[in-house]
Amino acid sequence: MKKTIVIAAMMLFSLCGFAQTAKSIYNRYSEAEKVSTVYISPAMFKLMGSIPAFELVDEDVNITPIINSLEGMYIISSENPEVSREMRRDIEKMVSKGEYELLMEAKDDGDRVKMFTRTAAGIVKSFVMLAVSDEECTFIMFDGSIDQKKFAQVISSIES
Amino acid sequence: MNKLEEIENTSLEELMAIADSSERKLPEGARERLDAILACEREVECSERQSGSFGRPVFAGVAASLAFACIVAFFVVTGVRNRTPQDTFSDPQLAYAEVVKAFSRIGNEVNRGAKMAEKSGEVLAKPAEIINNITGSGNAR
Repeated sequence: MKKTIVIAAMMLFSLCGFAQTAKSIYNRYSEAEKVSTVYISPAMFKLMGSIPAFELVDEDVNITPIINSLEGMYIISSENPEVSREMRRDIEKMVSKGEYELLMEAKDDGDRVKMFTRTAAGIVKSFVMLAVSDEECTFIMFDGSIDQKKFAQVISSIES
Repeated sequence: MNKLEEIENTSLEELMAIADSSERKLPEGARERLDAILACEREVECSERQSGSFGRPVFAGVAASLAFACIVAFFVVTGVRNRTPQDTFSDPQLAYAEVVKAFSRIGNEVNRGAKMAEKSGEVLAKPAEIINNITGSGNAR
């Protein structure tokens, strides 16, 4: 009986330190107030990759080289300060445990941006961006098998 | 002869006192056997009180229920957290536009960071310029 109680207590405590994934973060905050979310599944990316490239007006970003390499995307944008705070904490936990590498961190006039990647043999497996400002907190994450050079090419082609 | 009910309601000590005072004698060894039975019963009562056996089944039941509730809660919570979300867009064109928008945002942030790094580079170059000016003017003398 004592062993059962100890095991049950350990399982209960393990809930607190349960590994964060983008899916669990998305599920937790998608229904919250003042939070907008976007999820694009691997199936949708396959569909996008199989049809001719779209041309979008007012957008000069060409993601055709990498569209077939993307496997899923989560976007969460929160204007709720409490949700933003908790979301930031969960994302920090996720990147600290998920073999992510800090790609860039910039702080400017109260705006803070962090970017992380998980790569293996020159392939970007996962990318996370966390942008925090006074009004908003944005989390963008996508998974895939993207060639690092092609990824850099797409990003550098974007002019601000 | 007292009624059976009266005898049943009489305590053991009173019965023994009546037996001691009466002329009738107990059979041989009856007293010893009675004492032994009484001693055994007292021992059983004492051990039950010490072990708290009355409370043990209740405590075990509560602990088992708590453990079961924890296990169920664990699976419910993990199930909710790992539920695969639904696609936000059913139209691939809209999804594509959203992906482009996201990459555009990423690119803008990267460019902003690169500009900040460039500015820092200019600031870092300042000390070197100052040193060069000093050493240059020193050589000139």
